[in-house]
Amino acid sequence: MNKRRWQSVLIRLLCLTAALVLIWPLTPWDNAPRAVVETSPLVAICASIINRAIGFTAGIGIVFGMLSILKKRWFCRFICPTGLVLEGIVHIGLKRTSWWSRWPPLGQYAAALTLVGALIGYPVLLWLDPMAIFGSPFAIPVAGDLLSGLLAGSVLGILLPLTLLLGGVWCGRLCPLGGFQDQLAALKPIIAGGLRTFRIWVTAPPRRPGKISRSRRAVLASLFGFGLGLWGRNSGLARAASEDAPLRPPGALPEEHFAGVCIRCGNCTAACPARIIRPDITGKTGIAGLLAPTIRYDSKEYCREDCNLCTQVCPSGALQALDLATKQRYIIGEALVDTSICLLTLGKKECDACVVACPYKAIAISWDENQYISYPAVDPGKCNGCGACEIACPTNPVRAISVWSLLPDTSTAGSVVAAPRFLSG
Amino acid sequence: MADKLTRREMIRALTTGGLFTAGSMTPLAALFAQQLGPAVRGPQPPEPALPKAPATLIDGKVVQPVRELPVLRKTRILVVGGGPAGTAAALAAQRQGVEVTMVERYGHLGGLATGGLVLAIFPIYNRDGKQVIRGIGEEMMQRLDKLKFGIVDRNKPPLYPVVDAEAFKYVLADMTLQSGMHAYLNCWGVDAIIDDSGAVRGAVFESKSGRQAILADIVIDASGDGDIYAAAGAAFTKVKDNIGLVSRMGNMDEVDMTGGAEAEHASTEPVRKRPTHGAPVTQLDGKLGSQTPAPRVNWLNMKGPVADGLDVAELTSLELKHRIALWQNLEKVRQKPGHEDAFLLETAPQMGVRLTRLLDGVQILTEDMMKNGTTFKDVIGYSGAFANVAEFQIPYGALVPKKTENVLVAGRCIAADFAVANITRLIPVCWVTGEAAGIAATLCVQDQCTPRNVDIAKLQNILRQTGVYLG
Repeated sequence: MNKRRWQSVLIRLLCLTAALVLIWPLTPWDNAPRAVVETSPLVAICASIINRAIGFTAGIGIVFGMLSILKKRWFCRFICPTGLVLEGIVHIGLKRTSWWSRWPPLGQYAAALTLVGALIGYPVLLWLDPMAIFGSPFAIPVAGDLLSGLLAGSVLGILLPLTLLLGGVWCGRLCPLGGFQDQLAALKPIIAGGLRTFRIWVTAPPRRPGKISRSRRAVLASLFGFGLGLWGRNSGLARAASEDAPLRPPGALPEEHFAGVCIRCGNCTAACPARIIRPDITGKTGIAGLLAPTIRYDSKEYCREDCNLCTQVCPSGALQALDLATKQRYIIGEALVDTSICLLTLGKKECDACVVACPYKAIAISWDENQYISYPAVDPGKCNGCGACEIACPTNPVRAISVWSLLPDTSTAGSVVAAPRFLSG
Repeated sequence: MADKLTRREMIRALTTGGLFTAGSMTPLAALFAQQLGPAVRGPQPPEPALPKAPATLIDGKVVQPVRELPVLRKTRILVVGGGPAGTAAALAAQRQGVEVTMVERYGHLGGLATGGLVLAIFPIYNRDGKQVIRGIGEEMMQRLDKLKFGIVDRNKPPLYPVVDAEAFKYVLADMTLQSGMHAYLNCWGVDAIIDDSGAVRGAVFESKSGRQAILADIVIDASGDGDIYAAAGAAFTKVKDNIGLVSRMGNMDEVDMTGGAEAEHASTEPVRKRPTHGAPVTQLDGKLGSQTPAPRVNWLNMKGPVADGLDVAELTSLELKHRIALWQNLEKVRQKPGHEDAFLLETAPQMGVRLTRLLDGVQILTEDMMKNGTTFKDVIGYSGAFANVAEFQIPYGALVPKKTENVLVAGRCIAADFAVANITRLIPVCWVTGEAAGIAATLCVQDQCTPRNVDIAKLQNILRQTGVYLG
């Protein structure tokens, strides 16, 4: 092994260690896990398109992307921790299978598809980004149960045996970030040689006769991405319109975008000290919503009023970064009371567990003169759906007070990035 | 015939004041009966005429003339109120060998625990299920243990014991008679008696015997509404809270609470469905309310609307409306198949007035102290854990008015802010403050000091000896 290769391995090991330390997180910075994932140029650019803004860490990712124009796939060779892990496995695996090298550059199509999807608010395959994949296993211990945990780390779980059997197929052909870097590198002669080279690049002759051209494939991939993005959005819209839509963590984009923008990196699940953010494996949200984080109030924990960690670690913009005061006003859902099973209303017990539990003093006992009953009344102007009432409610198995998704507000639904709903004041 | 009537007359004499006949078997009850003397049915000999001084209409104003009041008793410790706090205070003090007089507005003892049908003895456990309210309250429950249908769900945290109101009235009557204290029922404390320095020296009562005074060294205001300290000029905060009327219904379904408070099955169909906004929906059927010791009798709580517990017009209007609504709800229950024979066993004799006055005490117990688990050097007992609030200490300072002398406060009207009072007003916590006030009053008498100068170490020592949990 030559000196140059040793240097490369050393740098990559350092990057792997740094990524581990930042995602764990062993550093005092709340948004360290976010920075790791956002060093991926693909994530950084998609997130910037979706957020209509470029953050500091996304800026790093974009700079990294620009460097890829100059030096093809340098990110893979020096930074990518997933790549390093997989390369290590290639060495111990069955290396001889390289028949896949005749595959088309699927990663490039995935990148094109994802970028076009991002333009309409649905970056379809961004969850295949290797930086997101690297982070996802960190959510396993806090995913709630074994199955959720295994599914949360499933992409890496599939990649490991795949690499064992087929060698470097992921990095070589499938990785959207690798493909994106190839596309960026292809820009180099355009920038260097001007329009003439561009024309050649666009109309490049097919590598093998009888197949559609590379550019046509790219266009098709983009159209496909557009279609998938629309489909994902429509399924999200349908979900948002249902009465029992999943509850998303604070700062989440509206439901029609959320599941698509989320790259399943597991950062929010891992960050949540209450462990109420879990990847959705119920299938209730369809394929488009699989493994996207949901909030569950089925333990003795609620969304704490002194915490905004999940909003700080999201690299994709699916969860917008919110300061503590803003997070407290973000509406996760609305607490609704089923008076037909409420202990207070039925005169079983002088219960005011929900009233006492509410950190925002949003619940008060009300008196209904007509029916001559008392019931807990929730002030929708104060309730952000934190779930403190739900976990305090003593009825079993169904809670008399529980948090439900907001029904769609027809005035905001339909736009590309509709504003999440906040409490006023 | 005449012989028979005389005997009935004797029994009436023995039970005067609502005291249970069973108590008459004890020597002390015999003492009470001797005091009454033999009664003769029919016209009575003329009594010596007392000078009459009725209120007079002068220029359209009603004026109460200055008049001397007959002194019914002179006593060491006067306890105004015979509810959970008052009975605990009086019994605790009498057991220390100090003469006690207890005065109660209703014809029974136990206050809201019996007359108000607040049958759940809650909260007595800490977070870990350990019983932190003991002492005299525990003794009352032990007596109820011996009675059939007297109390259920004892020592089964997180389930709370539920008592039978009549059994509890019996136990309190028995304990009161056996203790040797003087007790007056149907006697409403209406005013404080203060001396030149403003210190409380007794209280004035209205009863069928007219307006009378009881003089005492120390007065314990266990009236619930703080009637005596307010009359004496002590500072307080007036609050309004919900006022309901609890009832007991018979021929109802057995309500299964065996799973504990955490696993109460209130729902017949455990399906999670999205509740609607707007008017509350409820179902009135045989599953209403919760169990009591008596079979197929459920007690039905009513929180009621927020009202002024010191306004006679509001109280009257509420009580009438509550009774009408309870009957109408009963008829709705009867429409459900299988519940045609449901009946309203009783509506509570006392309305569920929760909070009216909160003392401005030496130490006001605040929500922060409660939530932070503040500890006090002058701790006199604990409240049990309540919802998400852990057990917390109650300081002696919360029983002592900031300025007014010679009066101790026990029960729901002690010095606490509104959030804390929501817990300190509950039955077992009233036992705790009552017992401490009773012992403190005996120390005032024995050591000839005022309540604010009581030897705290001595007080805590006696409380510990009598089984009170101080941590």
